[in-house]
Amino acid sequence: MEAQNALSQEQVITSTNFYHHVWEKLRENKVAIVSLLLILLLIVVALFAPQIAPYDEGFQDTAHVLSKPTNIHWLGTDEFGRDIFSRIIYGTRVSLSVGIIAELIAMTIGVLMGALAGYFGGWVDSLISRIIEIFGSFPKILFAIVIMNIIGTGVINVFIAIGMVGWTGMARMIRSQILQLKENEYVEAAHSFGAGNTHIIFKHLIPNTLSTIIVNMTMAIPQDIMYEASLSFLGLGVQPPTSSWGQIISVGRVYISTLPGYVLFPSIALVLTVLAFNLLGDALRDALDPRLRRMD
Amino acid sequence: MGDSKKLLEVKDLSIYFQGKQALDRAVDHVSFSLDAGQTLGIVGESGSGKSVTALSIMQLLPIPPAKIDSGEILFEGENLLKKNARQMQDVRGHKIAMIFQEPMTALNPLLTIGEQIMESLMTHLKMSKDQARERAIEMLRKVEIKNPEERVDSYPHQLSGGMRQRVMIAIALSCDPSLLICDEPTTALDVTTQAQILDLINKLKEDFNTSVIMITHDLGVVSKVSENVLVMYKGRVVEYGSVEAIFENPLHPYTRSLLAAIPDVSNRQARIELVHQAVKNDDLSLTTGDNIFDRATYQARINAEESALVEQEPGHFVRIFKNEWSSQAQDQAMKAGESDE
Repeated sequence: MEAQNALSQEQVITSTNFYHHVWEKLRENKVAIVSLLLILLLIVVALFAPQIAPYDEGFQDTAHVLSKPTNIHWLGTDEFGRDIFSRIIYGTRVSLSVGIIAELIAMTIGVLMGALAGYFGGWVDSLISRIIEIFGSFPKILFAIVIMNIIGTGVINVFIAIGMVGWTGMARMIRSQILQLKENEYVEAAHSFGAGNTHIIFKHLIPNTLSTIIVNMTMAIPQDIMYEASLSFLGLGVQPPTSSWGQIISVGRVYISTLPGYVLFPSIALVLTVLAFNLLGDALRDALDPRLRRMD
Repeated sequence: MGDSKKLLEVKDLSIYFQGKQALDRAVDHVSFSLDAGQTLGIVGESGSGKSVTALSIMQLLPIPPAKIDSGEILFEGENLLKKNARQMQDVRGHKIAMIFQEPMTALNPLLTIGEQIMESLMTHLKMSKDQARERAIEMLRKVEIKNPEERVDSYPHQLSGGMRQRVMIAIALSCDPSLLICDEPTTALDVTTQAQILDLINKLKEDFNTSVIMITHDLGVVSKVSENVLVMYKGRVVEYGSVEAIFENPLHPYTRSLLAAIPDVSNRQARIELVHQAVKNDDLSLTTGDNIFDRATYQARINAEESALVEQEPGHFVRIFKNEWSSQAQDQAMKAGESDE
């Protein structure tokens, strides 16, 4: 019985795959787990914002304007009497959706550009690499501001602007990985079985860069959230009455001496979110790196 | 030479690599042909041009730096060198398939072996997913993998080297190609697995009525599977003939030294003969004007003398020097006259 158990144990171990190991490794990391839980909490908050928030994001309690934290307004109210706690909860939606959707746009552009440059080389590589360098030679926020000025404000346009400036890091990483991967014999074998370039890029090469894509995305999401907050702070991003953390901070800074919570609480939300994604990204990078894996 | 039953004819093929300074000659006026159902062994040491020849048939050489300087590759009567990229994609995997040296890396680690067999079936034979899966299981059974119904969903890392090479063979033969090119298929495997894989290739060759080009530096492999042998040295053919002719009556000194270098298991004390001095890269340079010769014994004769492939006995060709040719011809009582092939 014992021996049988041992045998089946062994089979379980041999049949586990790479991502199972990654999960095992990630689970040992307490910081990563806390970050992950925090991110899950944020997702729940964003999804169920109307149920969780005590007030609607646009509701104005004219009797309590610029109130300090009280029983009825836990984090106080703004100059229109809107509940800051509720607005922060609604703001989670914007921040997370920007983080995810803008990063998906950036990832798609980055992976495609990187794969094309790495796979075809030659003038394609030169062209794409020059474009990446041009993007890299200016502060990205400046580019985002220019794009927002051209296409106008609004959540959708924030996605587009951040997606368009955020792809270069991903492209660079994918390019160098594809350069390496395309020398693999299975790529030559795929050629020898009559596979076309598109097939090889999408079926054989890009799936093999998945670890890079995951780490890169987790590290880029907090950046994107910061870009959105910055754009909204500058009045170019999300427009009222939709609430966004950057926008709350922007308006609240006027009242920083009389009502510090107005600025402080959305800032804490922003910092915690960014920190959670960054720490998770770090942990993922370590977990996905086979060279850092313990020999056991 | 121009019969219609010839499956593959390589005529006067020359390939160069554009190096930093000079052109490096990899394949130098090589000609050979292959009948349907036949197996041709190409032997030679590293750098002799055997793999480059094979890759040029598949047109998998990176161009540049490779440059096909002359010649044609007729496959089923069509010149492969005249085909464009898309036309070649239809040939590759469908009409001509290839097995590689390193089964550990020739499979994509992220796809199940079933998916990898199904890929070319769906591309070339336009099979549906279900048909392709069924065919994949059938192919796994043909290459003698146990429990093919379960194995079809395995990932490459769950298989041993020998099993992976079987999977490669299954992929290669799945579309029923008329020509199978094996580029050192057993080099990376241990000896018992080698024998099994060779038996398998021999058996499947009959089942699928496929011609095989077996590229190897192992003469033991050649004797096991081939009917004809092409010996290459420094990008040139030095000897060509049936397996019996080459093994029993090797005419070229290089072939002789290769045969002498096979370890004799029955005589443990005997020293293995050396094939002296491996090919150096700079030896391939066009500017040296080298000629083919056994490096050990005939070192002094390597110079710019002209040489030609001469039919010394019916179907047995050997490369000899022009000035030596007449005297040797007398010695050997040549039947046929000088020939290009």
